[in-house]
Amino acid sequence: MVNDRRTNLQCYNAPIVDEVGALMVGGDVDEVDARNIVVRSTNGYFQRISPLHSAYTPLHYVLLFPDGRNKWHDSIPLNGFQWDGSMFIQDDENTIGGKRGSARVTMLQFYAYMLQHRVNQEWILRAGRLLQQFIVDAYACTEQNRLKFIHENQRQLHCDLYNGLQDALNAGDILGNDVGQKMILPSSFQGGERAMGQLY
Amino acid sequence: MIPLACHEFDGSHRGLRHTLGEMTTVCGKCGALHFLEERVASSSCANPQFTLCYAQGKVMLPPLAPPPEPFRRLLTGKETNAKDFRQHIRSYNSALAFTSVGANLDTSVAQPSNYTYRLCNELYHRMGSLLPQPGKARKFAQLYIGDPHAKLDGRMGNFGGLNKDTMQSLQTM
Repeated sequence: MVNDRRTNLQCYNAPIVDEVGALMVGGDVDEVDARNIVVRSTNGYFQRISPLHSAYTPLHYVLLFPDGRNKWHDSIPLNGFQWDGSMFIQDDENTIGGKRGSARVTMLQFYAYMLQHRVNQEWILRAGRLLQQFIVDAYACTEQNRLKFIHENQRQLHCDLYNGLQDALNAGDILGNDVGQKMILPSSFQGGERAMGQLY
Repeated sequence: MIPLACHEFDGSHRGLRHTLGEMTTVCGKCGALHFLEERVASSSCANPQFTLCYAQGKVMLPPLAPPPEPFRRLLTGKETNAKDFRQHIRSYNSALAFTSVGANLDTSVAQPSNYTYRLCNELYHRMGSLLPQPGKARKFAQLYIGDPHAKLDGRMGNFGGLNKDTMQSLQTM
């Protein structure tokens, strides 16, 4: 089942006919792209789903997303922007964007907006234990997403500078579990060592 | 000045009570309820601005659709089956879900009286094949294809302690 969300956002909406059709891709399809769910037929393996996929939450939290709508995907525009299927369009010159001119709603902003207590809309907050699980899951997704970003942008964080420092600190202190690729978490990563050092 | 929370804890603050008042301040833009102290520091008490809910006007999303009927009643009702549903809501959700969750649950702080969902290391969702393996029971997404009675029995069989009537009403929702 391959879903290209950019061309068809309505892919997982409630069906309007009482039939289910499934497209199965068998054989050699092994790779999971960040935006595809690949279901392999009959071989019984489980396939991981990327947290960036728009169907990630509705597929598991069927009770919280009964119609499959209201889900996060990576092309929700901020207020004042429009998504035309391939790019964001600014409504007028004075629109304020996000950080560094971003035009999309981040995962954190989306879940924070969704979890607010609003009169007559608070039913999702009544889900008790399921809500707790959902919040933990949503935060873990957000954090995973950030860590992925940091992992892919080590060059922009000038990590080679830090690495030299680390090397000096670790000189003569080589243990088996120290060997491996070092990842630098910037102080903007909440909960990381640098953020804690900066705050306290 | 170092904020109070950053001081080393020496017990001298014991007994001091910190209160935020009531959560009654309505965000003028999106209607979310807040504590007054949650406002952006530069905004006034008379016209408080909040970043938490709608990022000061940047995030505007469609409102949540109201839940379908048997589910709304189960969430808010005072009947025995509604209370039972809320107690086991995670099992009901898992029985109906398309995917399964893989996580290392950390039970070190969990107590029977105080529900905690805490995990460590990694978390992922997995989706199986659409057809069950020969000889294995149907699970998750596989339960969405086929005969309604078999679906109900399959869901009841995979999880214990669920009410058959409640499950029936959720399944046909």
